[in-house]
Amino acid sequence: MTAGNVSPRLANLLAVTDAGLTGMDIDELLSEVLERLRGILDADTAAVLLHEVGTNDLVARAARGLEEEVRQGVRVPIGVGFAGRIAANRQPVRLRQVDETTVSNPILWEKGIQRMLGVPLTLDARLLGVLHVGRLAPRDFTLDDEELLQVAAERVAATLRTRQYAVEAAAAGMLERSLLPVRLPDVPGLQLAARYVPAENRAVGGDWYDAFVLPDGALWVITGDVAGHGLHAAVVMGRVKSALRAYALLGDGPAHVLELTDRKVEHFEIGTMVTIVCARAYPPFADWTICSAGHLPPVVAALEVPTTLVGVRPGPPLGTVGSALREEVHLELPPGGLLLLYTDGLVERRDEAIDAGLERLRDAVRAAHPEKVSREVMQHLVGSDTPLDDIALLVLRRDPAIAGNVPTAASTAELRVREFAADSDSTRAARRFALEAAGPLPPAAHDTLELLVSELATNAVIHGGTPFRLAVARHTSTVIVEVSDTGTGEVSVHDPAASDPHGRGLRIVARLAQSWGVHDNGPGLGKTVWFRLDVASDARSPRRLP
Amino acid sequence: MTAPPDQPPAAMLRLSGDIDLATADDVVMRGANLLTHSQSGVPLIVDLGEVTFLDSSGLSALVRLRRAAEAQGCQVLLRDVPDRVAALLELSGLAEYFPRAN
Repeated sequence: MTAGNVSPRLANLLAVTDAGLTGMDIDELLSEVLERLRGILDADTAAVLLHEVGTNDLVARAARGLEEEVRQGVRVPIGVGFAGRIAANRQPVRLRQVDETTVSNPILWEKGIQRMLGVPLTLDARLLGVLHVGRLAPRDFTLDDEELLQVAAERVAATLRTRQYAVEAAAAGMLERSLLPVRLPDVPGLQLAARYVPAENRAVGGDWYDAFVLPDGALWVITGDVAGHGLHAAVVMGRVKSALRAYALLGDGPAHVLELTDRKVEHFEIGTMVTIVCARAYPPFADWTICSAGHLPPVVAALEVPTTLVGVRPGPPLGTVGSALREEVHLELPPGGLLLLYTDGLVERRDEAIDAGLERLRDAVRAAHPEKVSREVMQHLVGSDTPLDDIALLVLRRDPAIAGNVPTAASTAELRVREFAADSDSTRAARRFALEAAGPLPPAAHDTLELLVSELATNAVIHGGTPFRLAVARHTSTVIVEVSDTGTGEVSVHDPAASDPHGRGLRIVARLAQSWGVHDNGPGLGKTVWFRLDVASDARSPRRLP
Repeated sequence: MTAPPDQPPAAMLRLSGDIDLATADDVVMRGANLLTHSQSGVPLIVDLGEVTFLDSSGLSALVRLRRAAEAQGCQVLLRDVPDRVAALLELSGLAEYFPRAN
């Protein structure tokens, strides 16, 4: 059917679907189309049922003259009754007899409908639903009516698909972003770093890492792996992650928290298997309690001793054996000691035994700054390979210098945020804002903060090229700064020759901040570069120690 | 001053305020301007006494100045370097790249 032979009655309808492409939401659009169809076809009722994804049912989505269909959430199995047959055969159906023998939905014959005409809503051979009209008078629908309804159905299907894609893409994007890892907590006395790489260019997968501080000061670090891939695994991951946090809040140790989470997974996530390792410690983070549910052992490294795998006997994965008594191990982490948690995607390769991967991991880990270790580990174990499986990596190190001198109460933070334009005057404005937001500081901390904010703001202006957002949080003894922009510029630390005029900014941040990092905010959302600066006047900088 | 009395006086670039992304290019331009009017072999002295802030954009300006000076056979010497600028030069491995004039 081309535009040339569209009848005048149809033109009226098509105008609606075209306009609908821009303004209305799906329900408004369907309602409007159905209303017009009633007029054009001289029908008393008109309804759209949509195929519910993941089921074999059609569900009433919009109706005119038959509103109860939608209000009652009428469901029709594909293949059954009037609408079900249209959907199953992808063929129009004209009914001259409407009763329990031809129509499964009692609303239709109880209403006194005498004649019905329905056509499938399809797009590229995919069934989207069914569009049908009905008359209370015993006047037959003609072949012309049927053709007209089919043309209308084609237009509705195309419009619907466009709108649905937009909604689904927006929902999936929002969901994915909500499942992406959050920024690591600021923990005085510790440095943390993490990496998350989903397999095959997906935005999310079933692996995760988590690190959080509880009101009693306990720090929990976790990595886990939900069997499976993609959005479904990611959604289950989100629930398991949240369950772990909730049970941890009860105040029990890792073994008990895993037992409780196991019960939840067994009962509510049937058919799901999850491996997890979690570790908990209180300031000054010397004594770690670790428990594993079928997960690969963490790696521990310290100065002047060989790097080893933590000797924790893995209990069964969650969701596999009902309740299990779980074993905890205690690990003594000296100042400067490093603990690394990961998921199997980091060490597993198709063509080799897992021991070889673990061996390579052990070789790559040393007691250095977690950012550096993360970088080196990813370089050595992943390199330029496309990961076959998701990879989550979480690295922590006890601060070599201020260990044992750590506040035990969670400090309160004040957060200030402001947006700046991408022009060169913004770096000075950003410095002023950060200094004001941070409040009173010792002179050295004042100067360092001013410098580091200037560096990040400069990078945002030069490389981001879009307005950037500066967030400053002042804790009792630390200041956290985040600079977010929507630019796509890469963030990397360079080692320029003396005669090279560029490439010093991030290096300065890396040298002077206690920790720093880059967080990719997801496709199209840009990135956040952050740093933490200890600002207590008596803070001893680890870098000044021999 | 160790320069013999018959040599022309060194070119002097006095900087003040914040040397950052907004002002770095101006610093280079002023320096380059001085260099075009000074004789080969005469050092360019950059006085940082009034500088209140300097970041990597400022370092970049100094490096660019030195390269411009080298192209004319001139040296760049820093004078009255504030402590925090000295610390940044040190941190960035540029302390020896920029000799002092004092």
